[in-house]
Amino acid sequence: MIGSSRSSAVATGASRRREALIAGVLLAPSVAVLATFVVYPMIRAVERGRQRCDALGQRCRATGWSQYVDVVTSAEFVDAVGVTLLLALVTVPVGVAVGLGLALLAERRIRGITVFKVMVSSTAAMSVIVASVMWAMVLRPSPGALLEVGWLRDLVPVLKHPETFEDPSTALVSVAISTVWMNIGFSFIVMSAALARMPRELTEAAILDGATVWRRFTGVTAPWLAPVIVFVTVALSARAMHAYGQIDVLTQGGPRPGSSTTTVVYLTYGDSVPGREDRGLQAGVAVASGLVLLGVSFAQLWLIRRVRSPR
Amino acid sequence: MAAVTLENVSKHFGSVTALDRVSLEIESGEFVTVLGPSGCGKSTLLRLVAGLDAPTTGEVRIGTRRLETLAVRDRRISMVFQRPMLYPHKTVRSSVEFPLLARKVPRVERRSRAEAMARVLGVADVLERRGASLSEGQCQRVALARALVSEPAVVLLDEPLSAVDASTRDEIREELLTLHGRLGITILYVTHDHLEAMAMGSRVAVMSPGRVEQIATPREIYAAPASVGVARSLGSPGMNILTPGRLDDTRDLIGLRPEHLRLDLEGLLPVVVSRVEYRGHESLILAMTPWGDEITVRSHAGIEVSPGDPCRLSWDVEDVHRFDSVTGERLAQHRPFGPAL
Repeated sequence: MIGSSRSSAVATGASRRREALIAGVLLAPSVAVLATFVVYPMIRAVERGRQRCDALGQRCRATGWSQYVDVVTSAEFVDAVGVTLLLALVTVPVGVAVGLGLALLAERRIRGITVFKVMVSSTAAMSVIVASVMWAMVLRPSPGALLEVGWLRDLVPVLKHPETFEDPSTALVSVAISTVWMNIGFSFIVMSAALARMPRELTEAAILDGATVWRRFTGVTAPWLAPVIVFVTVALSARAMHAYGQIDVLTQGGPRPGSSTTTVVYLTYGDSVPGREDRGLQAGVAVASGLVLLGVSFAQLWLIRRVRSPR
Repeated sequence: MAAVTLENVSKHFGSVTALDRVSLEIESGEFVTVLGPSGCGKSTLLRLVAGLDAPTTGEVRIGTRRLETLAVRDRRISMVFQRPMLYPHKTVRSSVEFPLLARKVPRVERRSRAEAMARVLGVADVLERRGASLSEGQCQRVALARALVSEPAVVLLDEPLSAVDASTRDEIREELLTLHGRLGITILYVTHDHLEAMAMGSRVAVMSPGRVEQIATPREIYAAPASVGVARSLGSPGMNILTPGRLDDTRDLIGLRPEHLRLDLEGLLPVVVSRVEYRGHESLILAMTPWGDEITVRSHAGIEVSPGDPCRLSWDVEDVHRFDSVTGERLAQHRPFGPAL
């Protein structure tokens, strides 16, 4: 024991150089891949964001950082950040609450519960595009089956307006509804897994203590689930931030000429946004959005660290 | 008055019968241990009394009232589980206070009662720590404090000490017995350790799968086991049960406890020693009868026999237990041996 520790403590300069060499060789492939496919494109994007192009988008030249300032202060970008946050604000809490509620319901041991579980989970296995097309059919005026149901239309007056995706006031809500639906499966699966891991003695001890259902939930179940709820919140916000497919299928960022469903990602990448042809401008928007999302990610990391896991 | 009564209680899980027409009466203030191998329905029994499961048929009564007619908080039952289970995210203090909180006890009283109970169980110094950071012994002390703090009438313990190391186990046992005497609570204590069952219980209920075979004081149950199963499950090693028709001409199973057998040159039964187990304060001699029954003899440590030695065994006639070879039930004793030997 003593001998071996001493020999490593007095490692000679030569052997240290040797170790560094080996480390370098072993790291080289990942460094090369990262540099080629992550770092280099990133640098290029930042570089391109500084270029202003002519009307045809063919000739570009660097003009310093002023284009970034223009992008960040532009109404389009500010609006897109607003839309993105709004989408997150709606879809995240609702997604968490619905997933949690369904997971609590699915805990009951009743006949046919597995069918229910599979049905709810299945939305996680559906591609965004397929789900969006489905929701387009459910909510669009022409084949919008759900909008034909009389009592539902009386219950939710918005539905009387047959053009949910074409009206700027309902378009984002419609996108949010379909987004929530797509998230339910994921949210439900994660919450159910956490509930299944919860030792049944925890709840049973609380039952014998005479705790009401509400106190059992707030005092035992909710604290047990807290880290998972944070995780789902973070994951769903990331999804909301990256929402693209459903917007592309359902509203194309519109209804145009407005931009009530243009999120930052759609602003960067979508087909029907202003400045679509200007690569320099697009790169500028991409980098600016990246910075916003980076900020959100740091906020989430901080949140995750704060909620300590019970184990 | 009976604190807990089970009357013809059965519990089926699908096609599996966990309990089969069990009847049991536990007096107020009694300490009853429930002994049985794992999977015999001990925990199911406890969960039925706790009201966590409902019996398939039969009824459970607390005092004079049926369990299901009482609101949970009026049952005054608490339970300690086998896995030391505290709320991992709560401090020990709020874990111990939780039963009082659920019963809407005012804050100041909650605090003082929780602290008092924590002192009694020697966990006052960990009150501010979280459940997940305690050792298993500490956990189980806190769990006990939690179970007792609301001054329940009945406390159910499901193998509470099986995960705790031996010396802590002895300490907690001692404290539990003291507390039982002082608080006058009724305790139903499940264990698979027959020494624990006899040492702690004023009565022991011995279970075989799905049934309570016998419930009696430790002395009665050891001296006059009601069945072969009970005879085998008490004592270490358990009672020797010999093949019928060899010691006499009846069809009875004959039981002899290892400590009642003597190595004796004049003995009735010839055996061959197969193994000697030295235990310091005693030796166990494992031997084989001429017809192939394993038989264990408990003897003083200084005995000098070796494997292969032929010996003879003797015993007093009042130490012979007889059981029906079909039902396994205890038969009348002191029947003289017939001419077979």
